[in-house]
Amino acid sequence: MAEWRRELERRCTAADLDPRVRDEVEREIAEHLEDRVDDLLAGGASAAEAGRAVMREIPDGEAIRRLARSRPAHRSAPAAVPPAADAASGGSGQLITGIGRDLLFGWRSFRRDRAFTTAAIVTLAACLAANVVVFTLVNAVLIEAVDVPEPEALVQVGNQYPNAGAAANAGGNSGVPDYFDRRTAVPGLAEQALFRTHGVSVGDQAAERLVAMTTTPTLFPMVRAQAAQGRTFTDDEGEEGRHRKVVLSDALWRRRFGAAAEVVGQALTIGGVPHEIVGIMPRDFRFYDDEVVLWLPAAFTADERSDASRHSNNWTHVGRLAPGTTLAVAQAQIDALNAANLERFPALRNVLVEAGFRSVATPLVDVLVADVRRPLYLLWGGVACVLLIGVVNLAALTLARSTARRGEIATRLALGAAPARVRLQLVTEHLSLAAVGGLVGVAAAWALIRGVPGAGLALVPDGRTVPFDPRVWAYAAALTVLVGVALGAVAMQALAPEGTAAVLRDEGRSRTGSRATRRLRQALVVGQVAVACTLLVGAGILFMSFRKLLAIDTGFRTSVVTGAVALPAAAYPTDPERLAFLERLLDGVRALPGVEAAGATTNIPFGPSRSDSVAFPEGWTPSPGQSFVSPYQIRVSPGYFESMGIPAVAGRTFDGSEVEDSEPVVIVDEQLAGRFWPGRDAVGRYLLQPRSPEALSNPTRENMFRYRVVGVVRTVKQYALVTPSDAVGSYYFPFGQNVPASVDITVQSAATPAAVERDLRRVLASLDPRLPLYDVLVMRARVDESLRGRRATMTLALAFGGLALGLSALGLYGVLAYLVAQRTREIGIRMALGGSASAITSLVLRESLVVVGVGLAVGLGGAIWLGRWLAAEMADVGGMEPTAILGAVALLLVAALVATAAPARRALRVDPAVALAAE
Amino acid sequence: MDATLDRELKKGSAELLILASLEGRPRHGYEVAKRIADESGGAIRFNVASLYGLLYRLESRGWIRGRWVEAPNARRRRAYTLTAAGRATLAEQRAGWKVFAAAVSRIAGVEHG
Repeated sequence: MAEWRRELERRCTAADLDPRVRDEVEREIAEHLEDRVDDLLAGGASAAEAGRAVMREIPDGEAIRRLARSRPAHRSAPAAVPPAADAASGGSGQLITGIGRDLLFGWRSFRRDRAFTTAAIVTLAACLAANVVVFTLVNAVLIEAVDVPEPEALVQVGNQYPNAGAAANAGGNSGVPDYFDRRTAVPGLAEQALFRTHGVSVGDQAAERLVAMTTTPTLFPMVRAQAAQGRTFTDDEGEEGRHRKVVLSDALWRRRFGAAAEVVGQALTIGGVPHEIVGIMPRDFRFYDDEVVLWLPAAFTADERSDASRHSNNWTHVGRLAPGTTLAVAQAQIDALNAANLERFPALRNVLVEAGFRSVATPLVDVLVADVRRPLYLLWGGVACVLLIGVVNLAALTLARSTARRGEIATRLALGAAPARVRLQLVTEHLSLAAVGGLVGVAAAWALIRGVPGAGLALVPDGRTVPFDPRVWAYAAALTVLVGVALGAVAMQALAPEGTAAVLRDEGRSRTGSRATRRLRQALVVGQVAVACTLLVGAGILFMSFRKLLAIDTGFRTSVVTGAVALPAAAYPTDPERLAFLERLLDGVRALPGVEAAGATTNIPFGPSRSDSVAFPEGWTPSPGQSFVSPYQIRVSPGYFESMGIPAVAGRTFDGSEVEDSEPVVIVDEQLAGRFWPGRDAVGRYLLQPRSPEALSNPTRENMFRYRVVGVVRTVKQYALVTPSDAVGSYYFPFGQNVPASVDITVQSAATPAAVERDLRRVLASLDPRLPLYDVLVMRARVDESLRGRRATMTLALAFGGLALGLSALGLYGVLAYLVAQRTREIGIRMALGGSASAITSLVLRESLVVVGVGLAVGLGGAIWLGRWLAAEMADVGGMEPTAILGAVALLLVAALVATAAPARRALRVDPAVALAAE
Repeated sequence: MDATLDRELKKGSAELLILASLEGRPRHGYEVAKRIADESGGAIRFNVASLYGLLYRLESRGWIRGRWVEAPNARRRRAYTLTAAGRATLAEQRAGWKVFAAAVSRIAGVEHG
């Protein structure tokens, strides 16, 4: 190497520059001097002379330093030096090494910038965790709702009587005659099955209570399910006499039989009757009700098949659409069948028309997710907004950081890195950052779903697992990549010489530039505040309406302890036997220490069983346009009303004098009394029930059951805290005249619930050790259970609202801190000219209030819209809650003040001398 | 030429000279310096530090753009191109210089050529 070259190197080193800048400058000067040497040689100088001449022209260290300072911040360069070759011409191996190097490089730069990295990872983790939690629920509840092949072809057909006041279950129920009619008259449903779920007592001694599904054998082929061992039911097992068969779930087989191999063929006692185990379903089989652990073949009696059973809707009817058939075609066939049936049974015609009778086919998926779909979509939208707010914050941070990194990127470009390669590196860097945030987020989501019982599992049906399956992972990965690429794009944009980002990263060179920058930042924060405001008001509405629900008087004592007992027909075949047992049981319970009152009912409030039946006051005939109504029909023992704390407002309650031979009596609640005998005393009047549906068209003494009203009791909440507006009330029959086989015992006691449960079990065991006591619950727990979906929705919405609040406060803080930094000079001048502290504070405060004020205005618009949507789409939500709006506004203002405090303090600490000198 | 005047003149006119020398085609730093020296008959010479200091400054302002280029059988050099903004600035400075030079000539009583 020539001596001048070494000297140049020495001086450049002495200039003490950033090594990459030094390389660049040194190379350009070297090229220049090389040209000079060539010229001198061409002019006839000797090599030594040329060397000496050039030596004199080498700038000294100080000059080189000055020169380097005027270097442009970024340059473009051709692909000429090694790093550029990777992406342009290298094979995939090289590219991957390149990405590896990028990752390493990115992590070094993130480590240097610890504050940014921490903020980014925490924000991302929080936002992604929230999104993954909600998606996991969406996945478990909505997507996996019907876990059988081609679930979209399955439809439920249900009878609806909208004018009769009976609250229909989602999808509606059907009767046995409907099933046989539709199998021939509705070819659009190529396969059909009729089933119902119910509790069964399983075992000989100390039986346990399990949920069974009694179904036509057609169910398994319809849902394309085969037994893992043995078989499912054959068609002839749906006939009386051959139906003592059972198929077990994998879970029950493992739990009860220890997964023994020779179970198929053995007998299992169900309801006191031996059943042959014919098959065991695969582990992942589930259909309709996740709590079902065994299946029994439905064998219909001639009575059930008869026309007398029409409109006794105790079954669920599901069909599979024939290939190429649409729901509309099937519905048209059902409508045609119903029209033909109306003509076949003219006696029922008027009654059914007035009741608005129709059989409706609904996609099964819609039926199964009816209750949770809207809350879940609502939450999904909410978390998406939270992610948006978080990403806006991160974008602002990335921009700020990119400005600081422009020198570094410029150097890389100057050293010959291909721009495409630098872009790749920026995206890789931010992707890896997002990936870390995403992983932390997924871990947090997993912990939340698994570890926190209230985190939303309540939105998932009982027995359903919440899988962290590939779909969840894919969703989390997609979100992560999206966020990473978005941030990488922002960083790339920040390095482009022109465009929005150039305005955003404005370095305060021109007034117009800085104003545009501020506007854009303000607009982003206005958006954040608006979205946060809408979310908070939404969460507030859910919270307030939930509190109102909690404040609703149920009409009964919530401290009552309840427990269910079922009397198997095999052991207790007759009414007198069952009645005697129930009386002995209640006597035993009443004798327990601390017990104040005890009773029993067939339909415990907030319990699983529902029953309604048409009834009307004697002497009433429907005028045209009026429908018969179907109030809740409940059977209760003497002592039931007393134990539940339900007072009689007129007449009496049951006292045990009601027996089979005495006059049939009934008690009605205030709501029904007001409807049937408005303004008159109901006691002593008669309530009629038809002996068959046709009787309604022509009521006579012979075709009616006739009950004398002996009392009116206060109306209670029977199934939900908010009674549907078309509910018509309840009537109660005494056990003595209508003996049930399965009841809930109600105990009002001074003892603790645990002590009551223990005593109840002891009394029951002393009477019949084979009978299990199950579903032991305090009434309060039943009411809470009915609210769990609402509670989970509200809790999640509040959590997301809080997250949105925090994130937008951070965004606001960023804007205000930027404002103070931008206007340091102005603030300094003001202070130098004697501006008071309050004037300076108000400068910052005004900026804050403008941003928050506009954000709130926009957000409240969104909130009003959301409030309307909530009221329209979600049961039990009343609409706009002024408290929710005030609360959200107050929270956002407090957050804004907190976010304003630090920048305002910094503004007050501005030293005029320093501020004026700076530029 | 007096050293002080030389410096002042260069300072005032150096930007104009460099922009003008890039008009027409891209040149690398050595070429720019050589062209200015040749055209001025050796009256105006830049030392390495001030030449590249100026080039860098002009590039920072967006008037010129430098790129490393590689020609066959030649060394890698950084070539500077006049940008649109640079062209506009050149026209402006040229006009200004004409007005200034005319004024100086009138006041100093130099004959018009």
